[in-house]
Amino acid sequence: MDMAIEIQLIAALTAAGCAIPGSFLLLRRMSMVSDSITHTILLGIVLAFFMVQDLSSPLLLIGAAAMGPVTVWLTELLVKTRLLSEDSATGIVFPLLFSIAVILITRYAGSAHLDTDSVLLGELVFAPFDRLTVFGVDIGAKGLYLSGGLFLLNVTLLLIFFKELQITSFDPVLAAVLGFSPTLMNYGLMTAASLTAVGAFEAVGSILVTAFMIAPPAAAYLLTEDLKKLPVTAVIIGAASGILGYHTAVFLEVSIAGCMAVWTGIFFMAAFVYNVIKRKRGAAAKC
Amino acid sequence: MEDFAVKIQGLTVAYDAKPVLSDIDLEIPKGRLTAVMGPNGAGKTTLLKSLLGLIPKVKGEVEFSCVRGKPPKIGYVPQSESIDTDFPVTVLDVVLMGCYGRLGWIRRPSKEDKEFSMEMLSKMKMEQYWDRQISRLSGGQQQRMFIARALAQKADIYFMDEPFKGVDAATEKAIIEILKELRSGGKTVVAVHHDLSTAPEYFDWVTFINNRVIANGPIEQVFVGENLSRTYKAGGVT
Repeated sequence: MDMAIEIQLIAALTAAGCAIPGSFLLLRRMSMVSDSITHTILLGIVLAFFMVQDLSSPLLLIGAAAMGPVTVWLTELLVKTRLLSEDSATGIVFPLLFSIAVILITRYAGSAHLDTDSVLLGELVFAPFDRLTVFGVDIGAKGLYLSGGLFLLNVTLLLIFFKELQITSFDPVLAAVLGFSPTLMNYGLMTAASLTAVGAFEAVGSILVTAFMIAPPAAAYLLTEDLKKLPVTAVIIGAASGILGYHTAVFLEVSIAGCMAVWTGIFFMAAFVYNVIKRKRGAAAKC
Repeated sequence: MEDFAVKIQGLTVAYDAKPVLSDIDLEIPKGRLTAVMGPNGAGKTTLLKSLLGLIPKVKGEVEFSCVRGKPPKIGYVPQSESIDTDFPVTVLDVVLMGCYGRLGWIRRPSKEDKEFSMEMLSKMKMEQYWDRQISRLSGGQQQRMFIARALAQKADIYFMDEPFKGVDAATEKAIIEILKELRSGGKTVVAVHHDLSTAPEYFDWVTFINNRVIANGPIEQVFVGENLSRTYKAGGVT
């Protein structure tokens, strides 16, 4: 497959995968949690790396995925003291875990290919060089399978647990009364978000994952009032941002990840303007 | 002695070290409309939530009496301002949630569930709004929707947190009709209620609380000046 097409596919699948857990983080007013998770999973990756000494080990994914719920648990532990609000607690937990990870990398993993630049910004350009071979046959870039797999995982989870996600997000009290544990769904969602973030991490780095998790769902939120259409719209916007971002970056000869994030912002602005116009028309029609 | 629907013994609930409810002993009768009344901060919502098992108890026991040999099914109507009306759901989506308890995990609502939910909506005269996003409803319409959802739960005991708050006169009348219908069907309703002037007309049992139980009993016996002044003056809340 052509390298350029591979990069675009990885970008589109990554963004699409992020949009699904992102939609529910947004609806639960937990957008900043995605920022928190995308940073703290780095500690999970680093700790797992120290254990297995292999950057391509799937254990790194598991370490990272475990860090998401740990982050949420630590944050809630602080919130439960009633001494700080949720956002302050988030602001304390994630810089702590993230900075430990950065110190560990710079101090002990300097020789490994785990440097802070690639962690922060990702290395999508190099993704096509990392091939997946089965019995000596090259079947495509590893990143393609990783991002595709995570996208499919998110779609599957969404289809299975749509009803549970809806009720625990909208009315956690009724959900609890009816036996759908909001806590269980919350940790499930965090695990899915962390796993997805790890995949996105390789493509766009830890900072821009937040752009993919939140901006496309936020734009979709302004375009639709149907919970079924929300993740679908967000997936389309995310994937389009990935592809358009790639072409813009090639044309301007700048960072691919940066351009993709810019496109998510452009889509959000367009949705915002559309929403304002629609509301004004709606108000005018009422007169 | 009347049959009880819920029996509460020595219930104490605290936020931090400060008790919101202390040593509550209470029997809520079966098949009646019970009003839970008290000033702001008296612990009315806290009592409801701890009965629903949503808040950890410091101590005490809550016992539900069985209905037809099984633990009772519990219905719930939220306080209107606790709901995010910008959430992307339609009126029918919300009422359908009432069926989720019967469905359990993973199974999706069927066509019958949708038809039944529409029926409950028309019972509340809300069927023409079924596909509206919920922010485009008036306060009264929102409350009718939540009552329809509670009906869709087919519960044995209904807990309602201020069902008459912010509703128009027609809705208030419609809700009270439904409450009476539930009572004739042998259901138990426990509602947090604020309006002193309508309480004796709407309810037949009242529980006055202000951090502890002030009085509990048939409304014609308990709804008297002495209890009212003890409830609303105790604890320094005016």
